[in-house]
Amino acid sequence: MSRIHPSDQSRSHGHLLFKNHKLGSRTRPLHDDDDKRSDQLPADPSVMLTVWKRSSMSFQGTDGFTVFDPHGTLVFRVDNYSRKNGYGLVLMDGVGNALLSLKPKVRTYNVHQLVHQGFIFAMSTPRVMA
Amino acid sequence: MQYQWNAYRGDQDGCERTSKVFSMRSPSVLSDFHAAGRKHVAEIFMGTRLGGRRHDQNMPDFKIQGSFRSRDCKIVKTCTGEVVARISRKRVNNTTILLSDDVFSLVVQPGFDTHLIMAFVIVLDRISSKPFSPFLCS
Repeated sequence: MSRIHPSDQSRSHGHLLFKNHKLGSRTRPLHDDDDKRSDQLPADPSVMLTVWKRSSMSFQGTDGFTVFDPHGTLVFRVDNYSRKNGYGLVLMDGVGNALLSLKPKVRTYNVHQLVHQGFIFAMSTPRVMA
Repeated sequence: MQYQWNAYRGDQDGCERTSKVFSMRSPSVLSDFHAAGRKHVAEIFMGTRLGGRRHDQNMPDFKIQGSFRSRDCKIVKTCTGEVVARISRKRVNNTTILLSDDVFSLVVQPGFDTHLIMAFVIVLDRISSKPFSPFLCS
């Protein structure tokens, strides 16, 4: 597979997925309250994507995802260059515009949650590091 | 301890609550005792619902069932039970030859935002595939 460079992907500016996304009314809302409207949408075919668990930048040490549609157009990519910045990842479209930032967070339980879920521990510490 | 990932709009560094799109986490270890035989491997809360204690007991908006490590799972909308997207191993032109599990198919049902579903898949990979990653020691 040849190396994919963002500047080669200018055609994905007009990609169908993003046209739909910009229109807004064609995408079904993910929230429950708006479900009633979804019945009026035309029956679009389902979207088939091929996900390649590898960065589009093909040098050593990079990590990420490259996603293609059935026509071979690069639709999404994730490139993880370093482990800095709180291990955050950025989901980009084919030309490198950021769509979503993903950030990890470690959750801990506190006593309120444990008691609420039916677990009562005889512990004097106010915080339980599970 | 469990892993939670938050998604924010755009590439902004500030974790402002207003720009939060969804939270995704592996199911609570403790709630496994309540629901034996539970099958989902991750749950997703849209918007800013997750974070307040009072919402913690609520049903997730989406959940992921099946095994992502073997690339056989589906994303289900919890309230309707509708399958939103399905992940499977990719085959060579409808033959039985499977490609390596670095390559897989993602079929998104019509009308759902593909970039959100793709973000779910990325987080799912981070949550489930590397149990002994350096992330544990951070």
